[in-house]
Amino acid sequence: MPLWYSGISAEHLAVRNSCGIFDISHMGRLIVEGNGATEFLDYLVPSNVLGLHGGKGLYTVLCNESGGIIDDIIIYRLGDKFLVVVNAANLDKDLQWMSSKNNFNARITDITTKSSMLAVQGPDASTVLQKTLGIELSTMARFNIIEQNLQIGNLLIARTGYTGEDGFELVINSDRPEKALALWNKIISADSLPCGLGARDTLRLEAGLCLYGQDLNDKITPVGASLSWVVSKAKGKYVGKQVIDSQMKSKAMVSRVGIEMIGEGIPRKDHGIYRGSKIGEITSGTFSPLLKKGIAVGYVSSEHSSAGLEVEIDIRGRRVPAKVVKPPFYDQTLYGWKRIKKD
Amino acid sequence: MEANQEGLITLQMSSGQALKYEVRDDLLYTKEHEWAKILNETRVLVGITDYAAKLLHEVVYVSLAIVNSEVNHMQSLGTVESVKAVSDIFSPISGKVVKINEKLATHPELVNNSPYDVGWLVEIDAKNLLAEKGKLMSAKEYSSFIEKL
Repeated sequence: MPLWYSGISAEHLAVRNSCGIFDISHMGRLIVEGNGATEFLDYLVPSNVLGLHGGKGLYTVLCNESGGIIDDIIIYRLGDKFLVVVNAANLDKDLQWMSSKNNFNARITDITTKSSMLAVQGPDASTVLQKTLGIELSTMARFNIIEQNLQIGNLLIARTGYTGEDGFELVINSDRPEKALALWNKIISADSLPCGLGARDTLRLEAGLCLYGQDLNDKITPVGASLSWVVSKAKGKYVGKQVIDSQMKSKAMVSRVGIEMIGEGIPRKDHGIYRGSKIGEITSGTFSPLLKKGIAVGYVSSEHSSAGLEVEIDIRGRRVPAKVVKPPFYDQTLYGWKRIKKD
Repeated sequence: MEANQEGLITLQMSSGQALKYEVRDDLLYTKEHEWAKILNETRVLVGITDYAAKLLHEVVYVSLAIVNSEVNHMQSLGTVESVKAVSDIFSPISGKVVKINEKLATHPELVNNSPYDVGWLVEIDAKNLLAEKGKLMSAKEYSSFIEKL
C-alpha cells in the first residue's frame, strides 16, 4: 500500500463523506478450527470467545503471561471455525505464540498469502458494494460477518474497519491476486476513491483507534491501555488473567487519552505532555484533515486524564497549548458509523 | 495498524508513483532541496524545491525565522511541516532576513501549489553572496543530484 494515491487529505475526506477503498492484503489472516478451537481462542484472550455466536466478530488483544499486549486482533466466528485477523508486522510472532499455547488440538492455518483483503469504508460503503456485488448489506449489523459464493469467487464480508466510519472488510479467498484486483477496480468504478497508508493512519487516529507498536506494546496491559472493555470479568482461566484481574481491581496508573491542539503545531510520537511538570507522552500524532488541527493519542498519569483539561505539548522545544479530549475527535452526530443516517 | 510515518518521507519512492519534479534554470540549489533566486547583487529570494514539496506532501505549517534575524549558510531558517513529517529548512545564503512570505501563515498549501513563485519563503539581504553562490548547485547539477536519490 502506498502512502497515498491522490493525496492524504482528499482520500481521508472521501472516507468521511462518501467512500474509500484500501488494499489491506498485508494484514495477517489465520483460520483456527478443530474440536478445541473455541476453548483455545478463549484461553488466549481476555474476552469471552465461548459466547461468540456464529457470524459475529469481536475486537480483542492477545496477551502474554504478564498481561502485556502481544497484538490487537479481531476474531470472527464462521460456523465451527474462526477467522483471526492480526497485524502484518506481528503475524510471525502471533503464530509462534499461538502454537506454543495450543494444547487444545486446534488447527491453525495461515491463509495470508492464499487470500487478499480489501476495506471499503465510508457512509456510502454499503451502496457501493450493493452496486458491485449485487447484495444488500445495509441491514447487516456492525461486527457481523457473512460468507458469500459470488461470481468473483468465495468472499468473506465483515462490517468492520479501521476508520471509525461504517464500512466493510472483504477477504477474497483465492491465491490468484488478479481476482482481488478485478474486484478492486470494480469497486473503484462504483464511486470509491483508492486510499493509502497516510489516510489509513489519519482516519484511525481521528477515530481514536490504536496502532500496535505505537499506542500498544507488550509492556502495556489492556487495563493500562484503557481497553478494559475487552476484558470479560466473569471469565475463568486465560493467559495473563492474574495480572489483568489485579489491575482491574486497583485504579490504572496511566490512561490513554486524546489530545487536541489549541495552539499551532502537530504533536508527534515521543513529544512530552506537560502540566507544569511532565505528565505523559504522545504515542501517535498527526494533522487532522477534518478538524484542520493537530491531534494525538498519548498516555498520561491517570489524575490528569479528564476531558477538557488544558495541557502543553513540547513540540521540538516549544510548549504549545492543547487539551485532553475523549476520542473520537470528530462530532459523532456528523461523522463516524454512529452518525445520524444521511437520506 | 502499520508502523508510522514520521520522517519516512522517502517511503513514497517505493510506491511506484511516477512523480515529475520541476527544476528551474534561473535558480541555484542546495543538497537539502532549497532554491535561491539572485534578485540583484545583495538580495536573494529563497524557497523549497518542487521535489521537496512533493516529497513532503500537503504542507500544513510553515514556521520561518523572523524579519531582521541573521541566518547563516546551511543553518536553520525554519521548518516546514506536512501531515506526515517535519522538515528543517536551511538557508542557502548568509545574511539578514528582510522579508518573509506572510501568506504562508494562512495558506501553507502555496508551498505545494507554487514552490517557485507564490510559495517562496523568505528574502535575504546577503552578506557574502559572491563566495557562497559557488557552493550552490546549478539547475543541471541539481537535476542529476535528485535523479540519483
